[in-house]
Amino acid sequence: MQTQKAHTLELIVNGQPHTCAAPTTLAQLVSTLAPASGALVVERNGHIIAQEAWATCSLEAGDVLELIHFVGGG
Amino acid sequence: MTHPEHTPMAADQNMTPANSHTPTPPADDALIIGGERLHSRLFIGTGKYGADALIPQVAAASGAQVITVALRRVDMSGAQAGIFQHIPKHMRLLPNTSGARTAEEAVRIARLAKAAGCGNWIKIEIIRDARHLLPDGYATAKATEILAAEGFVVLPYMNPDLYVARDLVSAGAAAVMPLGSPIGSNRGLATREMIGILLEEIALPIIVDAGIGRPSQACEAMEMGAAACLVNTAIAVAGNPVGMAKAFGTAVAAGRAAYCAGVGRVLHEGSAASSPQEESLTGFLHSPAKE
Repeated sequence: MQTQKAHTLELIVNGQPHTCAAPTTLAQLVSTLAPASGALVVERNGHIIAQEAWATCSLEAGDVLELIHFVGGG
Repeated sequence: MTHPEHTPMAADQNMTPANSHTPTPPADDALIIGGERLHSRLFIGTGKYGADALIPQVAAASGAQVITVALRRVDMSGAQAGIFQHIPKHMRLLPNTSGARTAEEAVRIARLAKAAGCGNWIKIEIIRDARHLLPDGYATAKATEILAAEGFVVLPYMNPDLYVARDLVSAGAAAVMPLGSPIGSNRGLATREMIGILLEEIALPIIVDAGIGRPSQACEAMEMGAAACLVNTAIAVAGNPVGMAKAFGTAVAAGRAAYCAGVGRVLHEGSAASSPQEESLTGFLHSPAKE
């Protein structure tokens, strides 16, 4: 049986091009890219996505994502 | 109405703080901001530490209850870890909007910070001048107005300017945070006179932020009547940050105690001996010896 070619998604994550398999949820992307960031907040196309919604948020081609966390500051 | 200092009682009243706005502190002298009772009047930051793992020890040594953080993109290379794991869970997080150049950017950062699930306090910091890092008062007031209306507890970093402070009061700030000197400079209370004007005129807590380099400078700010001090660089770049955190905690508490006790008056000329002066200085030497 011939394997069907996997679909991929081209995203922009934190200003950089990023390719992931389709479908991918936001929760999956976060667990891959920022597994140990503690408090994390995500903006998708300029809108904050509540953490409760990450698991059901299916990413789409062209999505612009910002993964933000706390760093040292005064 | 005659100002108390112009009455015959003035000489004695000089022993109480001259500031007519001197509040009557609550019995436990808590600083209340956003409905929260704070027993430490030292706020600390989390930037510039040689090792972020020092932060829990610094926090414990300082006694601080409020700690600032910044927001940045997650470093996808994994080179820079987040700070969250190093912050003691009992502390009140005060995210700043550093990096914002406009009111809109500050509002965006504040909303992101709140969405991260760490409360609704925000330190507004809007800077368009990369060399001096001085805050933009107009943009800061605009952001304060928007965020206060959304329910944030807004603590704006500001130049100690009376009109900016009044705008921030009108905008709904929970406190104002004038700079002592430029950020990270450790040059101390270069703006002492201007901060003094805010202490006289502004009813909100005045939290001296930025530039405090030594515990003695934090102590002086507290003696003047500041509600609190925010110290980051001076602790983080000290030879022993944990030791310096303890020194700042002690200095801030001492300055506050001095303010509450009423700092004694200053004589601008002459002197006033502390020992009785009814007779000449060596009079007792000449008293007849008792038989």
